[in-house]
Amino acid sequence: MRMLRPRSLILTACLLVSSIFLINPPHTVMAQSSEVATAKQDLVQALQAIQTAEQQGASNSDILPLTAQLNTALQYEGNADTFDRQGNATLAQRYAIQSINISTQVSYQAQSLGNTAQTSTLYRTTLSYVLAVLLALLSAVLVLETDRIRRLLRRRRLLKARIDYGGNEYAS
Amino acid sequence: MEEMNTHRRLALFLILFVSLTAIFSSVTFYAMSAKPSQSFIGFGVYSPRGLQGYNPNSNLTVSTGQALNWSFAVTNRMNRAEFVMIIARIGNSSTPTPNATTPSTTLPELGRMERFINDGATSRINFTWTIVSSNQNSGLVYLNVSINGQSSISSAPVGTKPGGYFRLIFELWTFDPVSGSFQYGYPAQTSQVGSWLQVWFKAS
Repeated sequence: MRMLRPRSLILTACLLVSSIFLINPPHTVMAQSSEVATAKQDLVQALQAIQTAEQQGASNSDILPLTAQLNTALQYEGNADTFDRQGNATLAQRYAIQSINISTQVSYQAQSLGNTAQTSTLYRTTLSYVLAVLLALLSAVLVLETDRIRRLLRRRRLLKARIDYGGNEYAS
Repeated sequence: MEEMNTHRRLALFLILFVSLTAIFSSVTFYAMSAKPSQSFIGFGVYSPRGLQGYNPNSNLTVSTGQALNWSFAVTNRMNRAEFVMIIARIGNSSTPTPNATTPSTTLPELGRMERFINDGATSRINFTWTIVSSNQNSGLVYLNVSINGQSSISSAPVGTKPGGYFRLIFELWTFDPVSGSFQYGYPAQTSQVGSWLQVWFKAS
């Protein structure tokens, strides 16, 4: 029993130390409000939405306004972070919400742009390959039927030609 | 005889059609594929008065309280929008510099600037800095530097002998969506490519 006492003391000490961490988590987590953390996450999500839209074929000119909006959201998030560190929770929350609103809008617009771009890319690709097959078909027919086409054209030209009876020179 | 001729013509037509379809489809595929390009991010630091501190023995002298309005131009050619961060650090003539793979994380960080940059775009990021004060300790001069109006940060443990050279070091970091954190440099085909700049100056 006497041997167990120091061990149990160490165990109790360990539990006490770990409970301090449970009660008081790391400073960075405590210092950052949930809105500021959400604003950061939403910025990243908006960036990912933009990158997905680009992969789906959205053009640079379409993406440009979204990037500009995202920079505004980043500015608001920066302000929220600064006020949060200064302990001004009201302003921090206000800026964080503004940032979240913009980031959400950007994400939504990027998704919409991506879907539109994907549809038009699919349409363009299908049309291009259909045209390629049609062109191949036409070329194959042209190569095989050249003689027949030439004969047909000659016959049509012959049918359209005027018949010259040669009687005019005697009439005058 | 007539039937055999028809069969031969049909076979010839099929061979021609399949061959031409392969050729035209290949041309279509080539025309529709993205052109190969090497992706990169370039960045430079500029001053309206002309920047002189790129060389170690330059005569850029910054006096206490003087505000220097510089700017970064960051060009994104990564074929996608990027979230870029520039970290400003302070060093002296003997401190280690970043390289193509490793940043100088041991040097004191003065500030960070973040920006989203569209593919193919060049973004201008303002960088205003001031030596707020300096103090001398054990024969070494230490600076208190403020960036973009933020509260000043000490250069300690980086200091120089009076009249010695300091240098501002700028590292380019890009956001990696996979890891969810900023990584030094920008992603290349096989690994990250580190990108950094430095400007030498004397404090007076």
